[in-house]
Amino acid sequence: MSKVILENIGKTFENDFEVLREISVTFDEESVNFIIGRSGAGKTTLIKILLGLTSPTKGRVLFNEVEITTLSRVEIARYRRSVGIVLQDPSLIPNRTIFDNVAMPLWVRGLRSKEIRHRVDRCLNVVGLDAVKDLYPVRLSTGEQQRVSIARAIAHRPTLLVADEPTGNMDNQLSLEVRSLFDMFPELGTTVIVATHEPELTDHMKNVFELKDGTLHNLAPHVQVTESLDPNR
Amino acid sequence: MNGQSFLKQRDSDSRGSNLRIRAHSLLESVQHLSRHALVTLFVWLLIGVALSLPAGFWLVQHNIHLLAEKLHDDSGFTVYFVPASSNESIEEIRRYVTESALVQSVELTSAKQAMEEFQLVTGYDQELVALEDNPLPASLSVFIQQDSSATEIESLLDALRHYAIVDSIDFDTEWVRNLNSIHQVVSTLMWIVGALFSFAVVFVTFASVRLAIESRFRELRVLSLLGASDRYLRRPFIYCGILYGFGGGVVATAIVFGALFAIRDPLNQLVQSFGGTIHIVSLDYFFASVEILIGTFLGYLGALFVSIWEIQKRRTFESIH
Repeated sequence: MSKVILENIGKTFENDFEVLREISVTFDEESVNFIIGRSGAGKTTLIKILLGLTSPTKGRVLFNEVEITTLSRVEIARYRRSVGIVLQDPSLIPNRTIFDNVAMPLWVRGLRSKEIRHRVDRCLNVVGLDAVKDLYPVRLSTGEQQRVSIARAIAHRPTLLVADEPTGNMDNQLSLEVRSLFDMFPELGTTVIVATHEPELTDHMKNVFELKDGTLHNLAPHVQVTESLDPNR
Repeated sequence: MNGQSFLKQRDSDSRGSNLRIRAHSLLESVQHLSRHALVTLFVWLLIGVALSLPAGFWLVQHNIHLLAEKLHDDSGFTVYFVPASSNESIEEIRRYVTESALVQSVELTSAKQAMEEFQLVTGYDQELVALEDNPLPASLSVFIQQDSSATEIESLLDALRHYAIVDSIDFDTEWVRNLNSIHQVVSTLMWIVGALFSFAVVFVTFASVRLAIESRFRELRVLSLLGASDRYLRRPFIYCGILYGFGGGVVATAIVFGALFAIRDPLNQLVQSFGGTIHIVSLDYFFASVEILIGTFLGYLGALFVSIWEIQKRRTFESIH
C-alpha cells in the first residue's frame, strides 16, 4: 500500500517556462487516480517528477512519508522497484519474447526461475495474453503490446502504478479495455496514477484531477471533465 | 511496503538472489557472445595476437637470462698448450693458475684425454689410430670466481700469455657479456611491447563492449525505469569484457604454444649445442594461467571503463518520451 503526497510542486524549465505551479495533492492508498489535461499541460513532467526522472524546481514528493525528491541515484533505483510504470510507447524489447519482457523487473530483483515463471504466467493471464508468451512483440497488435507492458508493470507487485498516456495509441474500445485493467489494481493493494488526455477514460471514476495552467483541480463528475477539455468552450 | 523500508532494500533481497542476479548477468553475457559468434571470435583473435607478442618476448628474454646465468656460472677461460708440451711445464702453469685468488677451480685435460674424448664423440677410432702423433693439444679449463672483475681477469690472461707453451686462450665471458646485452635489449622491448599491446587489449575490449552497450540501449532504458541500479546495468557488459579477455588469453596461450611447437627442432639443436645442459623454459601451466589471468584482467579493465563511461554518458536514456 502506498500513499503519495505532492506538496507545493513547481517546475520551471530553463527557458523560464513555468509548466507546474503550486501543485498539492494526496493520492490515497489503493486508489485509482486520473490526471487529465491537454497536450503540453505538464502531465508528463508531473509523472517524471513522480518517478524521480526529473526534480521539481520547488516543493516535495512524499512516497510513504519518504521525500523522493532528495533521494540518491541508488535510492531512486530502489524506489522504482516499488513502482510499476506504463508509458504511451509500450517500450517492449523487440528481440526478447513476451515472457522475457514481462520477466525483466523480476530479473532485477533476483527472483528464482520458478517464481518468475509463476508470476509472469499469472500476470499474462490477468491481461489475457497467456497464450502469446513465447512470441516476439512484433507479432502483437498495439493494444496487445500495451497489455504486455501493463503485465510487466505489475509483475513485481508494485505498491504504486504510474501510467503516462497508456491508451495514447488505441481506439476507444481498446482504451476502455486497458482502463478496466487499472480498475482491478486497488484490490491488489496498488495505488494507481494515470495521466491521460482522454476524458472518456475517467467515466464513473472518483478521483479525477485536471491539470490546467500549471495547477491541479479536483474534478469528480464526468460532465465537468469533458467540458473542461472542450477547446470550443 | 511501510515507511522507508524500500530504501533499506539492497540490490537484491538476499545472498541467494544476489547470486541469481549475477548468474543471470553472466548468462546474458554468454548469450550475447554466442549470438555474435563471429565478432566474438574476431575479438578473441585480436586479443590473442596482442597478448602473444609480449608473452613470446617474455619467454625469449627469460631464456636468455637463464642462459646468461648458466654461462656465468660456468664462466672462465680455456688455455690451449702447444702440442707436445712437457707435463712439467703444464703442471707449473696449473699450479700458478690455481694459486690465483680469482680462480675457483681448474680442470686439466691432457692431450691423451682430449684424443679419447674426440674418438668417443666422433667415432673415428681406426682413422685416428693410424696417426703417428697426437695432433690435439692439452688444455686447462679455468673457472673463475663470479665476483672477479674484468681487469683482474685480463691481467691473469696477460700473465699466462707470457708462457711459451701457451698456444691460445679462449675467453668465455665474452659470451656472457653479449648475452647480457641481448637480454637487456629484449627485456626493454618486452616491456614496451607489453605496455603497448596491453593498451591495445583494453582498447579492443572497450570498443567491443561499447558496441554491445549500443545494441542494448533500449533495454538499458527500460531496465533503468524498472529500478535497475547502475551496477546491475553495467554487470553483463563487465562479464562480456572478462569473457573477451579470458578467451583472448586462451588464444594467446595457444599461439605461443603453436610457435614453440613450430620451432621445437631448431630449439632442440640449439640446446644440444650447449651439451644439453641448458633448460629451456617453455609453456607450462603456470605460464598459461598467468597469460589467461592477464588477458582476463585487461578485458575486465576495458569493460569497466566503457560501461561506467557509457552508462554515465547516457543518463538521457531515462527519458520516457
